[in-house]
Amino acid sequence: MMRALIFGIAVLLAGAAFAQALDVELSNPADEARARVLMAELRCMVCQNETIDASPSPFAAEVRAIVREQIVSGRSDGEIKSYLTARYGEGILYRPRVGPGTILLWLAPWLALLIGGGAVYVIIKRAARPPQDL
Amino acid sequence: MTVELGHFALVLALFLAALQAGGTWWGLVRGNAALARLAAPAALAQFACIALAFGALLLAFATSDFSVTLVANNSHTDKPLIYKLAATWGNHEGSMVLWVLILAFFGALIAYGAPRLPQDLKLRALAVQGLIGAVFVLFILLTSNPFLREAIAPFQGEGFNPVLQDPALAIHPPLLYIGYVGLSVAFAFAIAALWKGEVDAAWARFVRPWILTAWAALTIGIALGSWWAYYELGWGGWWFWDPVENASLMPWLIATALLHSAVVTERRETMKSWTVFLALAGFAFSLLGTFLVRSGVLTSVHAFANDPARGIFILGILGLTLGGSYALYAWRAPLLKSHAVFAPISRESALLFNNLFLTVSAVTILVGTLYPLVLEMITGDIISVGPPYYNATVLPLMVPLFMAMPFGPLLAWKRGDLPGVARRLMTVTGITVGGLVVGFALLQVRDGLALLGATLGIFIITGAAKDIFDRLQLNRISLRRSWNRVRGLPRSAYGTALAHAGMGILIMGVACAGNLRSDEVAILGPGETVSIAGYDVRLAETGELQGPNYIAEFANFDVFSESRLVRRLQAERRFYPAEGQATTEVGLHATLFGDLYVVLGDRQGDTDRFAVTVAIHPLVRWIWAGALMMCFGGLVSASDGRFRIGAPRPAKKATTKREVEPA
Repeated sequence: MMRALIFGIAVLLAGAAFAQALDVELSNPADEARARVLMAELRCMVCQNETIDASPSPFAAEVRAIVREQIVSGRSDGEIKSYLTARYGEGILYRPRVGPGTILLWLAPWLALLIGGGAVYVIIKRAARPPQDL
Repeated sequence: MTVELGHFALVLALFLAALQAGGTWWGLVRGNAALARLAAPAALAQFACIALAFGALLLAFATSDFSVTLVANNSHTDKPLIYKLAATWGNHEGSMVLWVLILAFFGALIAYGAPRLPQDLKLRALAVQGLIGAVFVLFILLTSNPFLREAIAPFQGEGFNPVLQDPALAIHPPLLYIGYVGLSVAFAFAIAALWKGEVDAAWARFVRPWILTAWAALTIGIALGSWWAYYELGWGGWWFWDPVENASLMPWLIATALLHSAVVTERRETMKSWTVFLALAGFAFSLLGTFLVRSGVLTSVHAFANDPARGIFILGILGLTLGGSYALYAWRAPLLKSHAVFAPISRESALLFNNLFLTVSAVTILVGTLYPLVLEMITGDIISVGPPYYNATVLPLMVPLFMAMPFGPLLAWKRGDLPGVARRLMTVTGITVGGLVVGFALLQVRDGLALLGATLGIFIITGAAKDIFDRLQLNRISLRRSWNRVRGLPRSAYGTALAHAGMGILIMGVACAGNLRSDEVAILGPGETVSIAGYDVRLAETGELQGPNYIAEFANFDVFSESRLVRRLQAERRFYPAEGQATTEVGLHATLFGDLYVVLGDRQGDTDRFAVTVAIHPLVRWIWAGALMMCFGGLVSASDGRFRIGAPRPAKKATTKREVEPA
C-alpha cells in the first residue's frame, strides 16, 4: 500500500527532485563550466526565486538543455541570453541588462555612495575646526 | 470560550494602548503628572492583556480547535505538538499577535525594569510605544483578526507547510521579531528625544543595550533562517538574495550602523541627529521587513490587491511612521546640537566611514528589492533582480568596510594616528599575508573571490585579537598584571572583539562555501559508490519508513575516507499527506573544514536505483558559527556595566529625580 502510494506520489511530482541527474553534461569541461556559470544567473520562471542551475523543475531542466545546446553550437553568452529573453522575457535574467528602464537600478548604489560620501566629507570638514557660532 | 476571552483581551489591549499613548501625551502637554504617570501601569496591563490573547491563541492551536478559522487553515491533528505551537506564528495573523506581544513586553520592561531612566524620557518613550501598539492592535482587529470562528468547524485542519516544520524555523520568526520590535524601542527613544529636543550621553546609554539586543536577535535570527535553508531546501544554498531575506538584512544593516553611531553619541556627544535619524530608519525598515514578508507584496504585486483593506492599512502605517517621524525630525533635529571637534583621522571618522558603507548597502538592497515592483507598476516590464546584481553592488561596498574593520577600534577618539595604527597592525598584516600564501600555495585555492574573502576574514579576526592583546598589554607588562587587566576591561571591549572576529569567521565561511563548492551527481544502486573530495559515498540500503505525519523513502549511505568508514548517513524524501507536499532531508557529514552533503533524488523507474547528489561545502559551518559569535558579542556588550540600569555614572544621577515637566 505504502509503496504504491509513494510510487503514485513520485509520478505526481515527476521531476520534482533533482532533474540534474537526467542532465547530460557537456563533454568539454570548459564548456560545462561556462554553462553552469550562465545557468546560475538565470531564473527559474516557475519557481519561487530559484536559479536554473539549482531548480529541480522540468522548466529548469529544459532551459539547461537549451543553454548546453547553444554553447555547443558556438553561441556567445550574450546571444544565448538574447535567445532566452526573446523566448521567456527579460525576467529570466537575474542580472538585469542595462537599458532605459534599468539604468537607475544600476546607478543607484553609486549615486547613494556619492551623496553619502559628500555628506560625510562635509561633516568631517566641519568637525575638524571648532564651531564659531556657539 | 478561551478564544473569545483572548479576543476580548486584545480589544481591551487596544484601549489600554490608546490610553498609554493619548493619556500620557495629554498629561505631558498639560503638565498633569498623575495622568502622564498612568503610562507605566497601562503598559503593564496592556502586556497582560496581549499575553492573555496570545495564550488563548496558543491554546487553540495546541488543542487543534478547528472552529477557529486560523487554526483550521494552518494546523492539523497529526502534527507534533511543537509544530502545532509554532504554527501559531507561522501565519500572518498569529505572527502579528506575537509582534505586539513582544512590543508590549518591551513596553512593560521600560516601565518597570528601568528605575533609573529619567522620568520625562521614560514617559515620552512609553507614549510612543503605546501609539505603535494601538496602531498595530487596531490593524490586527480590523484586517487580520486571528480569533474569527468558522460557522461549521471542519473535521480536520488544512495542515502547515512541511518545510516549515523544523525546530530552527520554529524559533526563527520570534527571534527576528525580537530584533524588529527591539528597534521600535530605539525608535520610541528617538522620538522621545526629538520631543524633548535633547540627546545626551545618558540617552545613548539607555538606548544602546536595546540596539545591541535587537541587533543580536536579528543576527542569530537571520543566521537560523540561512542555516535552515541550507539543510532543508535540499541543494545547499544558504543565501539567495531573496526579497524575504533582504527584508531582514536591511534592518540588520541599519541596526549595525546605528549601534556604531550610538557609540559616538554616547562617548563624544556628537553625531546626535544622525543617530536619531538611523534609529527612525531602523524601525521603518523593520516595519517594511514585517510587512513585506507577510503581506505577499513580494511574490506578486497582485497579491497585494487581493486584500486591499490590509494593503492600504499597511501603506498607511508605513506612511504615518515615515512621514510623521521624519517631519518631526526635520522640525526638531536642529535642536540636537553636536559640537565635538574631531580630526579627519579619528575614531569618529572611522565610525562615519562604517556608517556610510552600511547605509549605502542597505539603500542598494532596498532599491534592488523594490525596483522590479515599481518598474512593473510603471511600465509593465518584468525584470528579476537577483544574486548577480547584489554581488556586483553590495560586495564591492563591503570590501572597504571589511578592510577598515581592524583599524576602527585601534584609532583614538578625536585625533587618531593612522601610521601608528598601521604599525600596530604589522603582525596582523603579516599573519594575513601568511594566510594568503597558505591558501594559494599549500591549499591550491585559485578562486579570486574565495582568496579575497578568506584573506579579509583572517585580517579581521587577527585584528580583533590584536585589539584585546594590546588592551591587556600582554607583551609589555608581566603576565600576572595582564591577568588582572582581563577582568578590568569593559565588557564592551570584549563584545566588540567577539563581534568583529565573528564577522571575520562569517566572511571566510561565505567566501569559501560560496566559491569553492563542488558537487557530483550519480545514479546509484545498493552497493555502488560515488566519490568526491577524498570521500567515497556508498549507497548501503534503501527503504521506506513512516513518520508521525509523513511517509518517506530513505537511503542509508556509508561514507569512507581512505577506505575507512567514517560515518553512516541517512537521506530521505518525505511526503506529507495532510498538506500534499514533499520535502527532502539531506544526509550531512559536518566537519570543521567543510560539509559532505548527500541528497536523495528520484527513484529510477521501478528499480532500486536512485539519483544521488553529493556535494562539498567548504567552511560552510563558519557562516553560522561566526553569526553565533557576533550575537554573543552583541549580548556581552549589552551587558556592559555602564549600561546596567540602576548603576549609571554618578554625574548623571541628578537627572533621575527630575519631575515631569510640560513639553
